[in-house]
Amino acid sequence: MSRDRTDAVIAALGRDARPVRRIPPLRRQLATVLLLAAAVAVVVVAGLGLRAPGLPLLQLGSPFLWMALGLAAAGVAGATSALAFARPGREAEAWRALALGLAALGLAGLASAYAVAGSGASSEPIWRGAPELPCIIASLVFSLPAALLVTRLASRAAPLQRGRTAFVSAGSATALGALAAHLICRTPGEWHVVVTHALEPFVGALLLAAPLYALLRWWRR
Amino acid sequence: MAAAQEGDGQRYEALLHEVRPVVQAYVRKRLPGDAAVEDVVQTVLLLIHRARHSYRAERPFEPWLFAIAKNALRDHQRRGGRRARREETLRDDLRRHADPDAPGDRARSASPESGAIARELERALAKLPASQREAVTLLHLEGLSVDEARSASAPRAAP
Repeated sequence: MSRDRTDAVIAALGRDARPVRRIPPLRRQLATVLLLAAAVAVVVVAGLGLRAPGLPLLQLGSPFLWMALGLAAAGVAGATSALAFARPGREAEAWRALALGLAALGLAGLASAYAVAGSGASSEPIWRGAPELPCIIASLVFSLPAALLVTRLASRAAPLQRGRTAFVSAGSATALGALAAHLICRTPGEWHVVVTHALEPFVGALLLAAPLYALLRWWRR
Repeated sequence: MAAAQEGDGQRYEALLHEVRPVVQAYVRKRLPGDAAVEDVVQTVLLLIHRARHSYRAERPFEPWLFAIAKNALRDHQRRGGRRARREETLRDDLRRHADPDAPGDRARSASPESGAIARELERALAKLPASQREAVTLLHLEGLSVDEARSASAPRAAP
C-alpha cells in the first residue's frame, strides 16, 4: 500500500466521521459493576442465609473476615483492571490495579492462613477433594452477572488486547462471585475458607476466559 | 479529537493528517521496509477510527494514540512471524529449475542432476493442497502473472 493510498484512507475516514457516543468514565462503569455484584450478594444471602451462625464473622482477624476483604479487594481491583485494559492508553493503570488485586488476595490468604494455624484447626485437611466443588461451582454461578456486565462494558470501549481483557474480566468477576459464595458457604473446615476461596478467582479466570473472549469478539463485531 | 467525536469530518481529517507523520516515525523506528510501515500506519488510522469513541477529552491524547499504534505494530509483527513460520523459501537450485531460461542454466536443465531436482520438486508439490499446488505451478513453473493465473484457474474453479 502506498502513501497515496494512506491519503485516500484518511479522506475516507474523514467522510465517515459520524458523531459517536463517548464511553462513560471508568469510575462510573466500575460503580455499575460493583452495584450489580452487591445486588447478587444481597439476593444470595437473603435467599440462602449467611454462613453457619455462631462463626465469628466480623471478629477482627478472623479468617472469614480476612478472606472477605481479600476477595472484595481482588474483585474491585480486577474489575478496574479489566475496564482499563479495554481503554487504549490505560494499560499502566490496568496493570497496577491487577497487581494490587493479586497482592490483596495474596495477603488475605496469608493472613487467614496465619489465623487458621493459630486457631488449632491446622490439623484439618487442607483440601478435601469433591466436597470443595459445590463452593467453586457456586462462585462461578454467582460471578456470571458481573462477568457478563464487565465484558459488555469492555466491548463497548476499545479492547485492543481481547484475550487479556477477557481473562482479567473472568478473574475479577469470579472474585466478586466468590465473595457472595464466601458469605453463604457451608463447606466445613477452616482451611476451606483459606485455600478454596482464595483459589476461586483463578479457577474462574481459567474457565470463563474463553467464553468471555468469544463474547467480547461477538459484541465487538 | 473531541470535534471528530462530534462528527466534524474536516477537523477529523486534519487531525489524522497531523497524526500520520507521528505514527509513521514511531513505526519506522521499529519496522523495516516502507511498504510495511505504510501498511501499519493505515491500520493505525483505521483503529483510531474504530476506537475514537473510547478517547476521553480530559485525558492526554498521546498515550491513547501510542497504545493503538503499539498494538497495531505488535499484531503486524505477530502475523509476520506466523507467515514466516508457515512459508518455506524455495531452495536456489529448485528455483533455478523452475526458471530454466535463467542465464547459465539451460545446459543444466538437461543434466541428471536436473532430473533429481525435478523429482524433488514434484514430491514437494505433491505435498501441497490442490489449490496451492495449482497456484505454485501456474505462477512459478509456468511463469504466468497473477491475473493470467486467475483466469487460467477460474474455469476449473467454477461449479
